[in-house]
Amino acid sequence: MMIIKGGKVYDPINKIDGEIIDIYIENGKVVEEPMNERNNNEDIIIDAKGMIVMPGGVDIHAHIAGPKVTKARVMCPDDHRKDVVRKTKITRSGTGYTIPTTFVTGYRYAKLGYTFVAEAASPPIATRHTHEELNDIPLIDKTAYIVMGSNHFVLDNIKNNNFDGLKNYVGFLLNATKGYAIKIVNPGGVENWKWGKNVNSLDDPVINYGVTPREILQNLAKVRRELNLPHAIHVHCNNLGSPGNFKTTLETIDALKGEPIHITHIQFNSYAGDGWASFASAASEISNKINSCDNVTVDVGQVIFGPATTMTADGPWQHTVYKLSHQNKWANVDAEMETGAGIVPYVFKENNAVNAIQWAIGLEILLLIKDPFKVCLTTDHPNAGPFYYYPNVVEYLMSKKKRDEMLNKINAKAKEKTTLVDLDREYTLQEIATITRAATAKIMGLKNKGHLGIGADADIAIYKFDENNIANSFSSAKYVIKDGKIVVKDGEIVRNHIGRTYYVKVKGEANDEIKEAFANYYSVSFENYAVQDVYVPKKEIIECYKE
Amino acid sequence: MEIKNVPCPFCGSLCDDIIVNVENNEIKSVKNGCGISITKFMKHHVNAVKSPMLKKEGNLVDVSIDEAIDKAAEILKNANYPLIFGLSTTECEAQSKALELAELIGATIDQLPSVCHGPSIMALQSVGQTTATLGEIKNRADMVIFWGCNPIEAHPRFFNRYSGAAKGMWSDRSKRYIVTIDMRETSTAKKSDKFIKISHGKDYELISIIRAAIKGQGIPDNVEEITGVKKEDLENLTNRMKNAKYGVVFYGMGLTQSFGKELNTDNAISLVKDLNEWTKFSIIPMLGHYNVAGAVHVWGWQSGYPFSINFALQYPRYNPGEFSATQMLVRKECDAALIVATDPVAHFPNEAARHLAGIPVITIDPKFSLTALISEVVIPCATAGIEAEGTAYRMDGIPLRLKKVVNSEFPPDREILERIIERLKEKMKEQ
Amino acid sequence: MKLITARTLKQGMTMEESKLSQSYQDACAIAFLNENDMAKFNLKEGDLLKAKTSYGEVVVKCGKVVIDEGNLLIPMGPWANILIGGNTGGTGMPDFKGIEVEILKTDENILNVKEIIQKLK
Repeated sequence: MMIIKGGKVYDPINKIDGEIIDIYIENGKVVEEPMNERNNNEDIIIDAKGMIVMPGGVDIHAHIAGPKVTKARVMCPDDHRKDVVRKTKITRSGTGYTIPTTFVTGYRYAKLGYTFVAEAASPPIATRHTHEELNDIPLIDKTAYIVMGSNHFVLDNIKNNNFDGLKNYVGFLLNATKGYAIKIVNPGGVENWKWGKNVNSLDDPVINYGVTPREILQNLAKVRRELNLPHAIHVHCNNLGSPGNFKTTLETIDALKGEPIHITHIQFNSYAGDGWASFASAASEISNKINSCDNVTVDVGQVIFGPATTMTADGPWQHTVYKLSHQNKWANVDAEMETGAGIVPYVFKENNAVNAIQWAIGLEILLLIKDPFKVCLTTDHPNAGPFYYYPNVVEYLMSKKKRDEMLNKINAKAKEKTTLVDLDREYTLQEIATITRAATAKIMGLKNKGHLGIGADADIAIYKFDENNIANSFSSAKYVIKDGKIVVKDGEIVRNHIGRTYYVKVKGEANDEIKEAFANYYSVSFENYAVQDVYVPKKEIIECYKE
Repeated sequence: MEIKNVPCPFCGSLCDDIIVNVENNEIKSVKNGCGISITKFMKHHVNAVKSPMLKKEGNLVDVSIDEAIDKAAEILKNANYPLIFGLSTTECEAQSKALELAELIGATIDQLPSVCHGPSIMALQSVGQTTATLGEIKNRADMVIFWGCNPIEAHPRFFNRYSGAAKGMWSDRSKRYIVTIDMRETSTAKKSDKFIKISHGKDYELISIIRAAIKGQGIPDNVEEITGVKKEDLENLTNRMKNAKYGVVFYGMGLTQSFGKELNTDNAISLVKDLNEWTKFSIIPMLGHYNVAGAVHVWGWQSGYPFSINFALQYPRYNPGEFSATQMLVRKECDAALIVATDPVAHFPNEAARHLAGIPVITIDPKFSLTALISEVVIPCATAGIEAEGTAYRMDGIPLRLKKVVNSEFPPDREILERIIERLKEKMKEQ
Repeated sequence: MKLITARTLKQGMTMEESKLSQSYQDACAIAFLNENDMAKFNLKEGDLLKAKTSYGEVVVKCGKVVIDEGNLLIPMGPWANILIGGNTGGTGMPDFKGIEVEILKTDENILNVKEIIQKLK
């Protein structure tokens, strides 16, 4: 048995807010306090006196594995050379910076006290690749969302008013890819981009199909409910990145008519103005909306100043970023029948007005949404910045002084075009624990993550918290326990461990229609499409239906 | 027994519809494959290495696999600056193990792009790449350009299956305009709607002229003198490019190995990027070996780099000009080499092969390669995709599961590499 | 003349079988050139020619192909390699296409693969 003694525990799901509680761990799970006093020399006692104890962090949205991530790694040797990681007796070597290699990704997440990360966008046809990479990310548990918003079968079934066909296909696809959730990126726009076009509103038609983003969202949300998936549809809205796009975001929420939706990196979809010159924050409008309805959760996509690598299935937006970025690299990949991707290296600059406003909008949203269970901390890694800057964001949230220091340093437009300077709220540790683990786990439907109740996975982070040095407190955990084993001690990796891959099992299987389309329009055989079991050597299956 | 949907482990097309007929652990017939594919499957056992071997008194003699692995580990342990090369024609799991081994011993590790499509990757690193999976070409492309590549001979089913004559959702041969740009009228050119003959080594010039023309600059009157291409052909070509609904450029070693190398590919990609201001265009390098893309991916996600990687400083460094196998050999820097699933003695400049012949070499290969003839240690393995399962990535990055259709008495590459790693770790502890 | 080395279907097929075979030698120990160039050097198909670059020289058979005058095409393989240098100009990639080569008719024999390997040492 392992016992974490004397720490101040923050477990929002179980409403434990800084109480000093001992935590007992056996066989990788949190267990009840033993009836009798223990006197067992084999017990591992962690003295957490003066420290804070939280469930392991859960990241609801990051790009850590799969074709676009590795395309970006290969495309950007310049990104790696300034951030090299030597091998040690325990750990493998690698490189950073914005797109760390798989091993380094696992190590850096673990050092932050994170133990579960969701890869936010896997193209179905290449999800075998995503799983191969997930298997090379050590220490943490992981999962993958499957991109569906411009998929031929989705568009075709909606066009033909065949909801059952759609539901069956989505079930088939999640099973075949061993994925976790329905990801929708710029619904319809990704298909139109294959002809060099986009959609600009919820009612723009998709070329050759005639269906609209609104119909795609509504239908997939209904499929999601009927398939009983643990996580809501995970949506990257239309018009991402464009001035004035907050209206599209509000319309998207309205279009769902109460169906659960998770809007990801909403900072990029909370813009007012009618051009770059009048670019401004619409964080208040967005936050008010979220505060007023109970079917919407969001993650923020907080901007981190410095280099980033933008990567998304939103190909048309990436073409725009390429033109805006004034640099020379742009990758685009059209993935047959299903989706696409674009990659552009980018630098968020403190003295750039738009970048400074974007930075402030992310914080505004985090501060204006009242219920921390509705908002999650992300940087849409590595789109708005690397994930290992989360501790800096935590510091801005907990300290008005710190964020005002930054606000005064950056382009003055950030004060003028946002309300950040007027926001006095400072997050508590309990609220930080919520937006980094409790809320994310709950929103993803991970029952054994994000809390420390009996039966929870023994994934635990212990920090030495110093209120005068908040960012440092969270950047390197004192201890991290994964599946009941100490993997990080004093900010160093002390043990190798391979986590599990989470995926759903749902109703739905290939019918003749699906097989015929494979024979005619895919470049791979149907028989070779589904991800074989060998690619998930350590797994946790979430059963969403009973036979 | 008929085994269906077998991916073919030969070229970067990785056709996955091969039917292999097996009786008594012997391949009796192969359906759907091209000529090379059929040879690859039917004759996989011809000229095979029959036993692990060590060079003793100048001759290769049969030994046990344990002895061969021990000797391999000994050679690598004693080397100061070893080279690991090859791996583009084996499965990803072996590529992963090879990188682990390179990290363990501080080796330089390199794969075949350094002698074929390295310039494509280097261009990706300077300008990016707008590309697509092959199914997308089949479904959408109404304009296909083959530039300095000859798929009819090098990727025999590529034209009909994925590109020129493939029938897809929105396009087919009748809707597709096919152009071949090459210094000679290849068999691919003969199947095209238009053949444009270019003077050898003038690719960069021609691409630059097209880029300018697309942006509204006139085509120079002496273009034929510069590039060998008629002005009127070029006007027609640029018009068609801008007016295509979905265009694609496939290119091969005609661009990457000719004068200019990565500047040629850089310019070609830039042309395609420019075209996306008007319409949709993609570009795809015609990778020759079936799992070059696999090593690009695996090494990419593990080290950040696709080829020519050095671990001497205990972290990965990348520099093709410094760490490519050819350069390491020509500079006579490496003092031992591990060659997996390739044959540098057959395919490297003689100058590089000469250094290889003078240092201890370990070869892991199912076949008796020319490199085996100069090796200290030869370890036979199960042929990936025929005698062993594994993962491979098609030229467009689509990963497929290779199949095992017959058994081999030897372990797959990944297992041999793993055993060498284990033995090496033991030896390192002994010290 | 300019030397172009390239993959061919025959080279690919025979390589998959055995590089020690006569058919591999037939497929690779051959240089293709334009009809006019053949006349210029007094060569006919099947004749032996010696090709020479600043890196080495090799004897191969002569073959005819439709190609621009001044180009010499040799399939990739041990024979072509003798003519290719190791300089990569910082790219890692040798000059497999486009280096200067001289040819002349010869009576010398084609080296087989084993002989080429002997000479490496």
